[in-house]
Amino acid sequence: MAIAAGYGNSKFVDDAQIAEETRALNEKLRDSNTRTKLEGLKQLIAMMSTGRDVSHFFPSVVVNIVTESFEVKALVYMFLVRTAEQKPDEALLSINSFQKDLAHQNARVRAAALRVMSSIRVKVIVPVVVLAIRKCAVDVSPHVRKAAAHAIPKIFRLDPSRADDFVEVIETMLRDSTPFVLSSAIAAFQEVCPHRIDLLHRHYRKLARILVDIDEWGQMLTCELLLRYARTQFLPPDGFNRELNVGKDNESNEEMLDIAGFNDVDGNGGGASGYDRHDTGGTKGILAQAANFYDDDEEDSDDDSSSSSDSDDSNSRKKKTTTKASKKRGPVNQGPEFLDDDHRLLLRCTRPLLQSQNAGVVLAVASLHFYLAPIADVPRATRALVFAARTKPECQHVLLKNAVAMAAVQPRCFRSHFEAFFVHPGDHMDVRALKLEMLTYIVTAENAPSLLRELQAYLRSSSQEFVALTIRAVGRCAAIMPQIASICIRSLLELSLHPSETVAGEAVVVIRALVQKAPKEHASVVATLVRRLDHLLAPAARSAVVWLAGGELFLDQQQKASSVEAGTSSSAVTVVADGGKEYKKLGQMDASWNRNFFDLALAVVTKAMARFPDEHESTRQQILHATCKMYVRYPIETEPLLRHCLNMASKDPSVDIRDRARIYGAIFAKTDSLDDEKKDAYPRLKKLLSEKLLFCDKPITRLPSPAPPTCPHQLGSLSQFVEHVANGYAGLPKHPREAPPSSVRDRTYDTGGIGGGTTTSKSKKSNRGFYSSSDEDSSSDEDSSDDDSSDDDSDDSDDSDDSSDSDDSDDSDSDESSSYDSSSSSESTGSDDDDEKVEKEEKKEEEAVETKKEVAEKKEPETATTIEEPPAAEKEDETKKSEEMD
Amino acid sequence: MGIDSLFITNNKTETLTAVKHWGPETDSSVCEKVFEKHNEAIKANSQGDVLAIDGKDYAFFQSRGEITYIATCNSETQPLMVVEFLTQLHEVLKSYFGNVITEAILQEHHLTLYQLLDEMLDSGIPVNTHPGGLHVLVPPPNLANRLHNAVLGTASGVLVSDQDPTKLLPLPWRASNIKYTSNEVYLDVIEHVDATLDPEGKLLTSAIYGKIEVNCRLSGMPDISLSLSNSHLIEDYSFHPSVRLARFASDRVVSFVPADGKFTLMNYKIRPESKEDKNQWQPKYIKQNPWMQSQTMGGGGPGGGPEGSISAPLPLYIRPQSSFGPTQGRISIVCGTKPAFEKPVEAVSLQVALPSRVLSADPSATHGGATFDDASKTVNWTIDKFPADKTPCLTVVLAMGSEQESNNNNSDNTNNSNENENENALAMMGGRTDKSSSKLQSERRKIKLQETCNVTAQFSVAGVGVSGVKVESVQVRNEKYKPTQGVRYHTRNGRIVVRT
Repeated sequence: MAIAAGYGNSKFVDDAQIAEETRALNEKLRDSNTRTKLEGLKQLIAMMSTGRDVSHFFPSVVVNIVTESFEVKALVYMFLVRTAEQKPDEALLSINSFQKDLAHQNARVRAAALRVMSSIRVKVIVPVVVLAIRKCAVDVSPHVRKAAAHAIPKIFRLDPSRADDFVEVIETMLRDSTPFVLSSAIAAFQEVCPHRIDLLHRHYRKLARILVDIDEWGQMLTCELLLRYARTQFLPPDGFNRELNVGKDNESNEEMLDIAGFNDVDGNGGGASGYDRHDTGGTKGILAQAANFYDDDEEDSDDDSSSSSDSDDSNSRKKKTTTKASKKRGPVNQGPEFLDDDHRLLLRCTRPLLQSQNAGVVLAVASLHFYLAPIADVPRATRALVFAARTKPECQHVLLKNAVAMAAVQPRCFRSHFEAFFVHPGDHMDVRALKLEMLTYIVTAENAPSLLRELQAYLRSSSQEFVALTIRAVGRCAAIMPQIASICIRSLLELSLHPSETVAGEAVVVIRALVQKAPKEHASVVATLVRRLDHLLAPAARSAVVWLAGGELFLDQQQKASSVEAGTSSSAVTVVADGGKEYKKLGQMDASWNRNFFDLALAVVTKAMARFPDEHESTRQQILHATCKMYVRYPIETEPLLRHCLNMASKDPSVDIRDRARIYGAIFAKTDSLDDEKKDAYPRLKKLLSEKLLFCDKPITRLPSPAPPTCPHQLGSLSQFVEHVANGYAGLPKHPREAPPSSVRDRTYDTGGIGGGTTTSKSKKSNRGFYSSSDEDSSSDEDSSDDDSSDDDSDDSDDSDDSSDSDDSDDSDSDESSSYDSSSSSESTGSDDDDEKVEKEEKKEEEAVETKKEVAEKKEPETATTIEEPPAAEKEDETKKSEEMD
Repeated sequence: MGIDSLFITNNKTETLTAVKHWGPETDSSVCEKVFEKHNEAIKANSQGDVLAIDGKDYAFFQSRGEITYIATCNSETQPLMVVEFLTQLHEVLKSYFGNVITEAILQEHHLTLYQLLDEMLDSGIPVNTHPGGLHVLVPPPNLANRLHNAVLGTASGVLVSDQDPTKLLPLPWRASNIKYTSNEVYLDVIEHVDATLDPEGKLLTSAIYGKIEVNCRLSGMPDISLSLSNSHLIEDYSFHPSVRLARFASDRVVSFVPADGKFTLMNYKIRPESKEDKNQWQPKYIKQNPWMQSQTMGGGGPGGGPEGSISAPLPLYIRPQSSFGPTQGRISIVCGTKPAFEKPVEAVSLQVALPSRVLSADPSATHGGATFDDASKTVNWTIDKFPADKTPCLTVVLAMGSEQESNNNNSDNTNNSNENENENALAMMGGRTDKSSSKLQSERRKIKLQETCNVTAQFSVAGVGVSGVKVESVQVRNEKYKPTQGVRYHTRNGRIVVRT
């Protein structure tokens, strides 16, 4: 036994003593007196429990199995389970007496015998045990039937080839009407044949109704099973997105939130403000708002699908969504029978379980409702989730993680619990991060001030790690709500002087991301920050500042404007709308500002250059880029700096930086820079190239968030929690496009075949039945409200299904091509022009891709173009842009 | 699926107390890894409750006192099933072996322990975790059993019960053949107050959570109906599995067949009192709770502000003041009871979490005892009894270490000159520069955020419930006897934080 080493007191006892002990114990075990035997066994099990190897007592113990005393039997069983694996031959000897015990009149003995027999992990006895399971599966006592159900997965793990036998047994057991047995049968089903959904058709209604009577552990398993069943058999409840799409989720969400925020600013966001009334909690209120939901969320889902090709004209998209929405609102109450009756039955039967004391049940039911209930009903489930997280501190972490995953997809469902996610000083760091993440999802214009006040308190915490997380949260709030962005940036600016390196660095990185989002508004911030380069130590912060000093946000406002227009930034849109006049004025001011800024930047970068070899790699790279950018704008002033920089970079230890230096060196070759004025083809090409290369549209930055949900695994699963696919995880099946016939569930079966099931369950019904029956009675009134809600949904989701389906299939191609680096696709590859390389300054994760591209380019001569087919819309966009540039 | 192995370990000596495998044996080196990770997690203040080991096993662990329960599984399992099982396992052990579980106790009763594990979990799936039900299958090592052994001369006690398990069948939390000579049922209504206050005593957030604990010693199969007064105040709730949920949803009566012994019947959260609620019509027959009354009348004085009218439903007031200098600091806290409450406030203790750069602290209190814990950097102040005329006051004198390096000073000076130039350059641009940015520049180079010391508080008030939810009546049906009943109310602290 591997366990023996290191544990227990055994290591201090010398061998002679052990031998003596062993002999004495053996004697006791073989003693005819039951009491002595018991004592011996007790001693033995004490040894066992401390991890000592006791298998050599096996022969002396096994002989006792024939005893009549139940106590001795129980102890022998206990011993056998632990040690049989090491002594398979001797274990076989005991099988006969097990067979005898399986026919014992006491149900407890029968159940225990089966339990022990199936726990003996010796492959030889599998056939015997399978026979025993078959026999016990139809036993009179539900206890024995339960033991049989539990035995199935045990043997299945030992010998998976027996699956077919077991499926048959499980099918029989599913007919049982004792909830006590069913819960174990379902556990066996989940383990042995989770994909045999077809076995469940005829049991589905029974399972749903009996759910309240099943024990809590069974409820968890049954909910999971019924969820899977419903996903294969029913249509999605409505058009809302329920699943996290990793990769594009962050952007689409941000965009979604952006739109919500802008609506508020414009004053036409009736939907968003309508939501806040939501806290009243009553079903009526929620239902009344269901209509409002659709206005916004139609946009959301649309955004999700189109975010990958996000640079097509936002105006046209808006129009599209509005027409869509209006189309949808037209026919009300067209399909009263939208949710399948059985679908509704499931929701109705699971709802009471949200009040369970067991957090596992609450989570299982809440995720079932999240996936299957119409969106207007989901807040009920999330309310229970939030409550459980507070009352069960042990489960808080898991519950919050799932809640955040839900909020990432549908933040509205958590809005009314805003204060529940405030951080308590006793919370662990993981929990704090999750809470902050949640707060940034659910913040609205109304509660933003209280959130900021709360975040300000967190910023004063003495834990630097927590402060850094809080800074991210502040940044995200600013991004979500432009109206508070300037306050946020100002406080972040102060924080960039924080004594802690990590905190200051984090603040700078977040500011940079924010500034990039709305460059015009935060011009002064940039200047301030650039001046602080010397005080910053964290590499990430330094590279962010150098990037800002590169000044690309300001140097070419005029050209930029056209491209920004296509982007999502609101400020850009308003600027364009204001028309040409003001625009010109701004341009002039910008020019002088740019000049001043350049002076500043030059000073800072020059200084940074002095320390070039000591910088972190990412910072060195940024210095290189920044110098090149400044050179393109102000070639005369920066010429010496550039030469120096290229010189340094070409001797850099990093291959990547050397490569970059070489490319830039070729582009900005010395001779050309002097005849820049000449209008012949080559320098012009150069100029275009460098502009395309250096001043391409940057991807919309992803603001760092405190604890982003990273995996789309099923809610409530272990895989979701540990963020990787655990052994045995099977994802949720997708809803079918067309509902399979519901008639399969109408088939019934005769219960006559099973022996004990009927008799015991009848006697039970009188006693226990009212638990479930009374539930049904009172839920009839809820039922009517269900009708209402589904009426509202029905018109909408019918065709949104179609559209989303088709969207999915359409997008999948473009998604894949752009997922290469989805965010950069918008500006990538001007096929008409002469470059195709994209420069991305801060996406480290995409760095690898980039270098690959670079290598690819180096193989080609400089002017050559490898033409990747960009999506049509982007191509258009790109040509438009280049025309303007010309 | 399911739990593969369970290790019960002593987390002080890191030795194994008991181990049980339901599947193939899991190597006990898991425990070492868990301890390692656990210690790391404590250092990082993160909650390492699930741990992936070598990419194939997952370990869940929970520490309770000196015992750590570790469960492993090697495939997809609902994580909360495992976490809840460990929680309930501890509850069951407590009901068997007393409130404090130690290694010694578990070793003494290892047979009972193993039987319990056998009954509670089969093939990795929890079966029955109700102490009331388990008592039928596994006899607890109680006095009667010991007496029985002493008479019969065995040292070992009745080890195994061969009771027919069908006795448990109708309800897994209750056996059908329970008999007591005196039938009693006692209820404890315990309410916890959560509150976050700013230094002026203004309430930032608050909530009241309550639970009803039942100690039931009734024979037979009684059916209890419990009606609550002011139950409209209850917003969220969760129930013991024995409660008929639909009944409560329809007429707010808690109806259940009780589990045997002690159990938590329900948890609830009080609907927060919002501003709109004030104008809401309230039926006259609902008596206003004296506490609430006193708040609406007397509260809000010091609070002010828009939310001034709502003050914390706390029987205490706590006013901290703190100031931190570069090398020393000072905190003073005044704590007192609010006069409106008839019942004495007991077991008051305050914890002051000091900033991490504090080197040492010297607390002195006018009443009660105050100590400084160096490891966790907290000052603990307990006030057993409040004096009638004076308000207790705590003063803590701190010695602070400086975290800032002084070597930046030189570079600072050179920078400043540089900056001034740039600033001038920028200033020429007129309106585009934000004025505040130049203001910021004139501030000190390294900002220092005002450091905080959060104060958390504990207290308890016996005999009164803060929310006004009361047990109106307890009716026992289905049995002939008239049980002794009793209801007690308690108010305790939840999460109380006072920020400075």
